[in-house]
Amino acid sequence: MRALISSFTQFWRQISKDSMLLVVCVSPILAGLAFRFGIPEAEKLLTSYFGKSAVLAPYYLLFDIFLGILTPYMFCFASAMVILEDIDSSLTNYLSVTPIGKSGYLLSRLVFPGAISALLSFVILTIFTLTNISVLQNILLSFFTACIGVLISLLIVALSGNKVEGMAIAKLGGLFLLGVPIPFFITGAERYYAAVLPSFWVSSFMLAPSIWNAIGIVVTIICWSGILYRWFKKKIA
Amino acid sequence: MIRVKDLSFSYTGKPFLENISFEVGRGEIFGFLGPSGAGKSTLQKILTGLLSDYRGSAVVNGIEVKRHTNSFYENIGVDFEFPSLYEKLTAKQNLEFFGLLYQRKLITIPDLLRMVHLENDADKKVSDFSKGMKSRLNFIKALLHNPDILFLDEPTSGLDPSNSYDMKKIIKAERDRGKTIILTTHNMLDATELCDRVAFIVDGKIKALDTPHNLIMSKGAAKLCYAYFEGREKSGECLLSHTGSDELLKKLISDNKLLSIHSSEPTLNDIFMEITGRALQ
Repeated sequence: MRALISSFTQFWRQISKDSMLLVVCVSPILAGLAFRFGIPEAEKLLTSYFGKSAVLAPYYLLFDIFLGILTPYMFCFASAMVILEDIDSSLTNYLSVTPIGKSGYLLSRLVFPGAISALLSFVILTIFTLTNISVLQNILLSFFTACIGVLISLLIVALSGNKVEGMAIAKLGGLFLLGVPIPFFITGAERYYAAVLPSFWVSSFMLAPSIWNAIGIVVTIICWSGILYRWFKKKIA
Repeated sequence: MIRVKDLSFSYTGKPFLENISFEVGRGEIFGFLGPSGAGKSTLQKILTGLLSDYRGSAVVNGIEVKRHTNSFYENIGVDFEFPSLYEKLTAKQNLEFFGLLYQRKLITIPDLLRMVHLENDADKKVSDFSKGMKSRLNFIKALLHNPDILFLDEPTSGLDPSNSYDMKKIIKAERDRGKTIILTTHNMLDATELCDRVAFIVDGKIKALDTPHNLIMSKGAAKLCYAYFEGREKSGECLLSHTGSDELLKKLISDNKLLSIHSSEPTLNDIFMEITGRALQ
């Protein structure tokens, strides 16, 4: 356990010594402030300009889901950058031959950051929500978005050769979030084109909590983690 | 300490290591010698548990490697060829971090740094270190938890002659303390100087395994070369085993006419080339 904690502490140390990653980790709070205070103000301006009773308000839940997914996305991006730096310095190989082992390394670099991002996502949503979502919804949203965050970490590491490539692949990872707005804007069967994306099911679940949408989340997350973890493992072997 | 029997491994279905068998005892330096791509590093990866889908048996410190748990590494120190260090941390911070991963009693950091003459660079960031300094720091990182088994991959690579000499002295001292050391190298001089036994690995197979001395002497090719003056400087040679029957040499000795005389043994590299048909360097 001491080895795991040390490795995780080292992870934070690496982030604290990199100003870009520090900003990345703080950005969800800034986004939360912008969402919580900026969007209602924008709504006031838009409703008075267009003379309508609501312009953005019907999509407040969409903003909440984006905010919920942003924290894990940013944290897991930082985590992927740290892993890529470790790979560059041959540290992943070295740590694999210490008592922390490969499994401990993955716990400290993927699972712990994922768990913390879930917790932070819950806190940020509680403070900055626009819709007053229930505690249970918040817990589920934070948990599922943290899983998506870990998938994005796996994707970035699996497809990148270094940190620069990692930043480019992170943009590709943003495609994982494309599923979020689809259930809000497409109601026909065409929306299921996005069914391969876990974010589509998370969004669908938040709009209409049902067992089928929950199964959709679980199945897509399991499938993607199976594929991405296989690629990821080759990278850190 | 290490027992390998009928070990085979493949990355792609095509055999990469085939029927490797050897044993290494306590207090022994055992060298893997071979050209790049021969399978030395793969063998080291198997012995350190990084590759587990091998066939045959590889027992390290009484544990079949493919069934190891993380505590297996409490007793193993690995020095990879390329330094694996946190560049943004100082030498001391690096060693402190890696030390926290072990439960064993650690060698103190000042002692370790002193061992490789880095005591004045303890608080310097690793990114400001030269290649040789990084190699030395990387090496002591493997000694930090005082393991019984050391895996060293090209430990003198990138070192100047003086530091290389000191490093070899430390390796021999660790051996004398009873540590088992596996040395992977393609530097035959290091191997001759350090190893108690060496294995020549080519194309994933062990082609020869013995002490460097035995390997050299088994070829029986040691010669005696001498120079003398007879109108002009001339030279002669004979096999060391036939010195007594070289009449010219006997006469030159009795007439005190030798200008120089020396024996000339084949090097480990000569033996390697003879056995495998390939050069090491």
